[in-house]
This record gives sequence, structure tokens and C-alpha cells, in this order.
Amino acid sequence: MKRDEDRPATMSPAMFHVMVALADEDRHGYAIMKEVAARTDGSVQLTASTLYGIVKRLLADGLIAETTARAAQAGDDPRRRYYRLTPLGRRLAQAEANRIAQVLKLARAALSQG
Amino acid sequence: MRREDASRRRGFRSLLRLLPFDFRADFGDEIEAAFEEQQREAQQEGGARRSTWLWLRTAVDTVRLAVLEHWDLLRQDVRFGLRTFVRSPGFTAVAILTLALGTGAVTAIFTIVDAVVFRPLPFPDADRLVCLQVVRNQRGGFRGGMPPFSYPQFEDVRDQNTVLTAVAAHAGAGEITLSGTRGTLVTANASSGLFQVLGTQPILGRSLTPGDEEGHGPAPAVITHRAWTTFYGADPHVIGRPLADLPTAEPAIIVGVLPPGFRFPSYDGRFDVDAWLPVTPKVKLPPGAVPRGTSRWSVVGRLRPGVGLETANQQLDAIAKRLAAAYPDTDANNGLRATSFHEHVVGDARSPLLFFFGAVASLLLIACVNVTNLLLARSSAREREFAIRAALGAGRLRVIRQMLTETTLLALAGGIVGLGLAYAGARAFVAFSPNLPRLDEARIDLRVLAFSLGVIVFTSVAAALVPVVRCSRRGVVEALARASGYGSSTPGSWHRPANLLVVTQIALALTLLFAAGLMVNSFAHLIGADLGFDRHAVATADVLGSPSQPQTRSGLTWPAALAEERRTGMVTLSERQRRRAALNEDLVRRVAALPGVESAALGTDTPFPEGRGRNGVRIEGVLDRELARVLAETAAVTPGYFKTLRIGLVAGRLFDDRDREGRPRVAIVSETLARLCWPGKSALGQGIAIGSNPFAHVVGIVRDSLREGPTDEPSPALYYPDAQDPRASKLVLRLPAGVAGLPAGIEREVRGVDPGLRLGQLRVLDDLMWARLIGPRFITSVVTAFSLLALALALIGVHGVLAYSVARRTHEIGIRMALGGSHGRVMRMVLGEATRYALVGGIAGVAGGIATARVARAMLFQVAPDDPLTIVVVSLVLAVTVVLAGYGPAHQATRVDPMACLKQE
Repeated sequence: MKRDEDRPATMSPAMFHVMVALADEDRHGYAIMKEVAARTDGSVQLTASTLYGIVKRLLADGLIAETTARAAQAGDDPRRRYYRLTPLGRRLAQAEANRIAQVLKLARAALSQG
Repeated sequence: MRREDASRRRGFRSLLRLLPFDFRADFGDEIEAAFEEQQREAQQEGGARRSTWLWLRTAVDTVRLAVLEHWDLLRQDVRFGLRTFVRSPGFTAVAILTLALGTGAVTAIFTIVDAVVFRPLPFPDADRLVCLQVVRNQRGGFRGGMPPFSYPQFEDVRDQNTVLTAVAAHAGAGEITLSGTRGTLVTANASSGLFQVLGTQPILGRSLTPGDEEGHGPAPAVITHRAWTTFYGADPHVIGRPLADLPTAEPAIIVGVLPPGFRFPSYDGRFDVDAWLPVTPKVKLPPGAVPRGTSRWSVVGRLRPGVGLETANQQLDAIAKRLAAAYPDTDANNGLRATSFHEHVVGDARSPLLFFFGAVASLLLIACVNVTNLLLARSSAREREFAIRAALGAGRLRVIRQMLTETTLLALAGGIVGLGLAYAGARAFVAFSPNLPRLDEARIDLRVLAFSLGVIVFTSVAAALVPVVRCSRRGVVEALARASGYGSSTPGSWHRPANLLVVTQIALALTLLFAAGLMVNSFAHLIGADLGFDRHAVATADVLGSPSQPQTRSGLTWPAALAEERRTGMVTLSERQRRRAALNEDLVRRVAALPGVESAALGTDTPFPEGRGRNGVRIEGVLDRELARVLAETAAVTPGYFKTLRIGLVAGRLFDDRDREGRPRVAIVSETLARLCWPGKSALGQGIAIGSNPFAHVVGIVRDSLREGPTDEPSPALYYPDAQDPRASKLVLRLPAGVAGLPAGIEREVRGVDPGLRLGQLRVLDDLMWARLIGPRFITSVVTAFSLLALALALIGVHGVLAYSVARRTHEIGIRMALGGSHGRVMRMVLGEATRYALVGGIAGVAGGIATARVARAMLFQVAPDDPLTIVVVSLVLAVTVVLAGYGPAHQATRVDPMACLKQE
């Protein structure tokens, strides 16, 4: 069920973090949560419910996809599923990163003038 | 520690149940796995505290996620539903209108029922107000109204009871005409405790006090807010002003103004008191009256806190027994009873209103059934859609949810349109039903809105129930097969619930139609009933004012005349009575001579009176105690009274010119009175009297009159000749048949007799009778309207089901026709289906109708609940309706092209 009309105009920070966590490697849910916490020095701690709310949304929007290529590692919980960033997701995450950088630049310039 | 972990996991798993089913199916296991790992880590790194903190955060996030997900689904369903509605505007319009009619009707009637029956009366602690009644178990007991007390009887109850904090008596006093065109004030007498009982404080001045009852000087009057604004221009200095501005009126001074909204004792606008006057000694015991002899006082009281009706009635029983022992002549057969005042006010209105409510509830059910059938037919058409959705992984719950959302949307739209209809309907109801109490209090408010919301919820669930159950039972494969055209198209899976619903609908509509039929029949009996007099072409009017002849002190006074009569045995009148008798005779003679008047008479009472009272009679040669007191309505009438009203003579003779002063006192009794007083004997020649008056000898027996109209019971009546007991002040005229207008010049003749006299409003008995029948007439019209609406809805329902059935069986019909089936056969096949519905629904409906009528028997007049004529007529109407509903689809079926069907094959 693709819901183009529901695609967020701006991405929430948590969504952005989830996409970034999948940028370099396919990950399962718990790994995503850990990656997000590590990348933000523990300042963003997702709970399982919040994460899967986001995952459902990103899947529906085609920004991430479940990966079947990755074989389950030994001792992996069979309930785990792995996700990867789609090319569309990557482009959108890139655009969002640029937008944040632009906002940051403008903010720094404005603040340094004062 | 491990046990704690396990219980947390269990807790988390139950929390996950809050999430929508589809979400859980997709991610439930993963969320659980991720949570467990996260919790293990938290436990290792931060111990129990961190693990608990994680659990709490996750729980809050889960609830938040559940809300968001459900909201998301709802938005999807609503959007999807709206799209479907836009795609089938015909279905949508019919469904919304049907539900609007049902919701509107049921809300309108609830508005009325709530205002009239359910809400407390507008007095503080209104549930403690009681109405006291004198119950006479013996012959001649009172029916209806607020049964009256004699004033001493009221005083005894007031002084002897301990269950009431306050108790008061009141009675209508009369009318006071104001100068010019200002109008007429309706007055009533009230004992000083009345406003204390009701808990009402005047907004200006004071209320009535015990001191006011001494009767010195002009009477103090407490006026209502309505009278204050209507007659006195809401003058803030009205206190101290005289009540009336004409010298003929009894002097009274306004001492208080009651708050707005105060209504007592009537709530139907028929008898709105404008001014309350105290009970002075003259009011308590008018000249010539016997103490405890006249019962005209209504009594209300306020129960002491904590005292129930049962306790109050026990004490009243004890008081009644004491009074019976103390006053055996007057109180021997009297019981006392307290009933809730609310019940007294709304009691009579309750059953017709609840009946209406039942009728509209049936209407709502029929509307729901119609929508259900539409949905079923449509859900059949949408089988493919649902099957595909199911194949794509939408669970049954999802489909059910979609259905419920759609019916809720329809019910909501229907409810909103219905509220508009309810507003208009309630207003129309109020406008057309003038004699239900408290109708002016009916309005659409929060209570009504809440009720209407409940109806909407009920409707959406009720309309979705059958399609939902059916949908959720159906297997995906079967549905897909059917939807692709490989399933059977014989009446079956879709038909079974639809058949049942259509039959239910016909049964409900017929129950209503049957009730309406009985009521129309009953109303016809009411109109044609024999009242014991001929009400057609008769007019009545009060003769008002007092003779302007000087009040001479010469001649006999009333007690002296009475003493004289006892001595001579012949009727002797006081001077005042003699003048009145002559004046009345003159008046009748003059009016009867007018062109356009067939006959004229005067009487103290006319049919359809404003109020009525009874007096205890004494019988010559019988001890009062043996007689067990008979109560009779008494009237003084001029000789032409019986002829004018065409009251038939049963035995003896009518009054004539012999029956006057100086002759023996005579009387005429009604059949019922004759039977009660002299059972098994002839009444002619017997002596009868009221109170301590001299005996009169019965010279004639006349037929009973149902003076209140057809539903009245024959009442014992005692007539005196006006020439021997001159009191008559109501003119009765018989007009020639076919004359529409009232005779000119009557007013002139009345003034010609005495310039102090004038004529009140001239009223036609037929109109008064219609006014009495306004209740039954209204009930009959409303139930008839509801039943026709129900029939129309049922017709739509039957038509819809048949049309759909024909559409689905096009293929089969085509093949039948290709194999040689004639048009007539196909037509018979479809109409046969309609007839089966009608037969089963009809039988159930008539049975339901008879059962309903048995319960509501009190509302019928001379018609049995299983009246055969009504059964026949209603069945005919049903037959015609079903043929009407079936004709369209049947005709459609005959136009199926067999070749086209074969090609398709």
C-alpha cells in the first residue's frame, strides 16, 4: 500500500536517524536502535514501538525495504528481519542531510554576526 | 530477576494487543524480539532500575503508536468509504434519507416524551409533591380529574397528618372581566399553604397568608407573571393596585406577583389561572351550602423528607377511618390516597406517548433493516472487492471495520439530517397537539443530542450487523469463486438474511398499520357514539353579569322561604330567587322567539362542561347509612332543556309550566340515578333531595347523558325545574338543521331582559365535542402517519430486495425463457417471491398488531384488539403494497433477453 500523498513534507529527526543507520549496512531492528544510540552518543534512544512505527512508515513510502539477500547469521533470532535503504530512501536522506547542513550554515552565520 | 523479566515480557505482549491487527501481524514478533534484546542489555548495563525505565518508556510509546495507527486506519476507512459513496450516489442518498427519517422521528418523539414524561416538574424537590384524592369505592365514585375534597375534609387532613410538611387546597373561582378589550382574568382560590407546598416565592410582594383567610376588606390577590405582563403591563408598582377595574367585580387588591414559568394546576394550557385569591369564610361555605356537602377542592401536599408514598398512605388510611367514624353521613365511604403529583400531571399522557415512542422505534428498526438490505445487496456486489482485499492480506477484522465505518458514516449523515427533521417534527407535534401537558417545555437540548448520538451508534451497529457477520464467515476462496461468476446464483447465501429482514420489515410495518387501523376504527366509533343527547346544531353560551334591578330588602329571605316551604309543602322562593326565576323565563321566551332558533332553554350545566361536581343525595324513607350515599350531578333546567338537547324521556313526564312556585317540588332523574337509588323499583313518585333541602318528587326519568363525550361513563343526574330552584345561567339553543351561522340579535335580547346581563362566548356543541376528541384524533393521525411512513419504507425495502434478486438472477431467468418460459411465468415467479414475503410478514404483523393492541387496549373505543374488519382491510392494503413493490422488478424480469444470456453462456 503505497501512500504517496502521505509522504512527509519534512522528515522527523527519528526517521532521519533510522535512515542514516541503514546507510552503510543492512540492519535488523535491534541493530538499528543500537546504531542510532551509538551515532548520537546515546542522546537519541529509540524504543521498539517507536522504531517499528517508523519502519512501517518508511516501508510504505518505499524509503527502506526488507532485504532477503542477507543470510541469517548463526545464532540469529529467527524473528529478526533485515532492512536496507532503497535508492529513493538514500536520495531523500541525502537531501535531508543537505537541508540540515544548509539550515546549520545559515544559523551559524546569523549567530556569528551577533 | 528472571521471573521479573518474564512478567515484563508478558506485560509488553498484552500492550502490543492495543495495536491494530494488521500491524501486529506485520511487526509484532519483531517488536517483541527487539524489546527483549534491548531489555537484556539494559539489565546488564544498568540493572533493574534501567530495565524498568526502559519498560515504562516503551509502554508509553506503544500506546502512542496504537493511537496513531488506529487513527491512520480510520482515516483510510473514512476516505475509502466516502469514495464508495460518491461512486454510488443513489444508494447513498436512499440510505441517508431512510436513516434520517428513522432517527428524526425517534428523536422528535423522544424530545416530547422527555419533556412531558421524564423531566421533573419545575418545582424544587418536585418528586416530593403529592396529589391527595378522595377515593369513593362505592356507587357514584369520581373518575378522572383531581378528585375533590370538601373544605372541612381538607382541614381535617391538614390538621391530623404528620407525613406532609405542608398541604393546601385550591379550586377554580371564576372569571373577572376587565374593562374595554383588556380581556378576562381566570381566578382560583387557594389556601394559604399553596405556595409553600410548591416551594414558590413571589418575585414581587408577598404570597397568601393565613391572615388573608379571615375575609376582612378587599381580598388580596397573587397574580401570575403572565397575568402581570399581559394585563398590567409588567408595572413594577402593581402591588396595591385593584385586581379588576370594573365596579361590578368583587373588590380585590394585588399583593404579589409569581415568578415567570410558574404553572399550576394545569399544564396543558386549558386552564391557566391568572390570579390566586384566599379562601375566605364566604368561599369556604357559600350561602345555602351544607358543611362537608360540597366537594370541589383539589388538594396538594409536600411529603416530609424521608417519608415515602406508602407511609403517607398508611397514615391517610387511618385519618380516613377516623373521619368516617366522626362523620358517618358524609365520610362513611371515603378513602384517602396520596399519589405523586408528577404522575397526576403526566399520567394520562404517558401511555399514548410511550406508544408513539414504540411506533417510531419500529420505524427506526424498519429504516435500519432497509439500510441493512441495501448494504447486503451492495456487499454482495462488492464480494469481489472484499475477496481481493482478503486475498491481499486484509484480515476479516479489516473488512468488518470498513463496513462499520461505512454504516457509521451513513448513520452520522442520517443523524444530522434527522436532527433537522426532529426539530421540525417536534415543533409540528407541539403545534398540532394542544392538550398534552408540559408540551411547551419540549426542546432539543444536550439530553436530546446525547440520545440522538446513542441512536446513531445503535443504527450504525444494527445496520452493519448482518452484513458483517455474513462477510466474516465467508471464506476467501468461495467469495473469489462467486465473485468471478463461478458460484451459484440461486437464492441462497445472500438471500437468506435478506429474506428474513424483508419479512421482519413487513411484519413491523404491518403491526403499525394494524394499530393505526384499529385507531381509525375506534375514532369512527367515538364520533358516531350515542351520547344520550343530540349534539348536532346546538349552541351554548353563559349568561354573565348580574341583574341591574335594585336589591330590595322586601320579601322573603332564603331561610324564611325554606321554613315556609317546610310548613306548607309547596315550593316557596325568596324574593331574590323569584326575580331570577322570572328573569330566566323571560330570557328563554325572548330567545326562543328569535328567527333562526328552533328551541331554547336555560340550565345550570351544559354538555362538555368546564368542570363538574357532585352532591350526596338523600332518599325519602331511607336512612342515609343504609343508602351508602349516592352522589349525583344536579342541575336546574327550564322546561325546554330536554327538548332542546333531545334527551329522551324514559318514563313519566318532562317539566312543564305547572312546575313552579306554589306547587309541590318535583325532580327528574337519569336512568342511572333511578337505578342506584331505587333498584328494582319505579323511581316515579319517590322523594329525593340534596343535602338538607326539602324532598322533591320524581316526575320523570330521562336517558343518561355522556356529558364529557363518548368515553364518559353514564353519570347519575338529578334535574330540578329552574322555576322552583332558579340558578340556571347557561343558554342552550337548538338551531334549525343546515343553518351555519348563529342567530343574530341574541345579545340584544339578553340585554333587553336586563341591561346588567350579557352573553358570554357562543359555542357550538359539535366544536366542543371535537375539542374533547382532540387527543384521540391526534393519536390516530400520528399513528396513521407513522404507519404509512413505515409502509412506504417497507415498500422500498421489498422493491429493493426483489430488484436485486432479479438482477442477480438475470442469467437464470434468461435461460428459463430460452427454454420456453413465458413472460407470465417469469412475472409469476417474481411476484410469487413477493407474495411469500407478504404472507409470512403479514401473519407475523397481524399477530404483533393484535398483541400490541391488547397492551394498548385502553386507547381503543368499542373496538376489539382482533377486530376482523381491521384485519381484512389491513391485509388488503398489504397485498396491494406488495404487488406494487413487486411489479417493477417483475416487469424488469420479463424484459431479460434470452439470446443475450445464451451468448454469454
